[in-house]
Amino acid sequence: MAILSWKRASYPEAQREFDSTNFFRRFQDDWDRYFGWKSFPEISGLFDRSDSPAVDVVETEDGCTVWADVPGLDRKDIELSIAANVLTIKGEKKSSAKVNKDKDRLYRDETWTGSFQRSLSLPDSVDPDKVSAEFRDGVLKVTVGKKAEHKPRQIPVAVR
Amino acid sequence: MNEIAKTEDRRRTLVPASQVAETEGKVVVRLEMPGVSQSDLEIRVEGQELTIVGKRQEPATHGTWLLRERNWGDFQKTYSVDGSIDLDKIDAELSQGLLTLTLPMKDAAKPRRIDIRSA
Repeated sequence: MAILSWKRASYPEAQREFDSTNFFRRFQDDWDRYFGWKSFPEISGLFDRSDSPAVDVVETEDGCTVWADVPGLDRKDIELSIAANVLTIKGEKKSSAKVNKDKDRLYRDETWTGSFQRSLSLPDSVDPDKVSAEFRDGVLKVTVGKKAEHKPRQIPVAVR
Repeated sequence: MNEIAKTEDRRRTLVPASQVAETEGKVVVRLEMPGVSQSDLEIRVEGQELTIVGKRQEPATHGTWLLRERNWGDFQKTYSVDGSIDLDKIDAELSQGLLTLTLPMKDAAKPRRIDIRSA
């Protein structure tokens, strides 16, 4: 039985699959610590995505919720669109300091500026007609409902 | 072992991204803190140190995470303030996830123009 001859159980270390995301994440954390870089949410690391807002996506029974960090942005700076199950967030983050080159001096700037666009593939079960979005404290929250046929439903069984 | 190390990483204090600029006799510090409410934020001055302490609340949800890039937890940033700043007149404003601290300079420290008399 060659198929069963792998004695992985005795090597708990080897059993774990190589998790590339965590590996790089940990490497980056070490690297950041060496150079004293700190991040919130992620601003200056080696592998950081520094030119688009950080996004969270949660799937619940009723649909999907997407949060995006867009500090300092105005409602009119953000453009949202959905096609089938792909949600696209587009916008421009402008520098909050109005720097007048003659009078003003910028000592330190850890913030990023520029245009961004992110397309998120949501699960197939979402209904593109049921989208709502709100904007609060620099966080964009988008709620997408699910198609009725994908929602869990109770089927009563008659016991005779 | 791995799990313990990961927990430690998540617990480390976050530091908000900042921007420091000087304009017309004022130093303006802007800190990005999306999703932080005013009640979770504290700004204090101790001696010549200005400290911003806050907490970003984890969103309450019971679903499955598909993507998780945002961080939450406690954060802190401390600045040592120069003697040229008038500590009693510091102003703070939180709007759209952006905290703006305005630190006015003392009149004696403001840049001023010196007129030249003609003899």
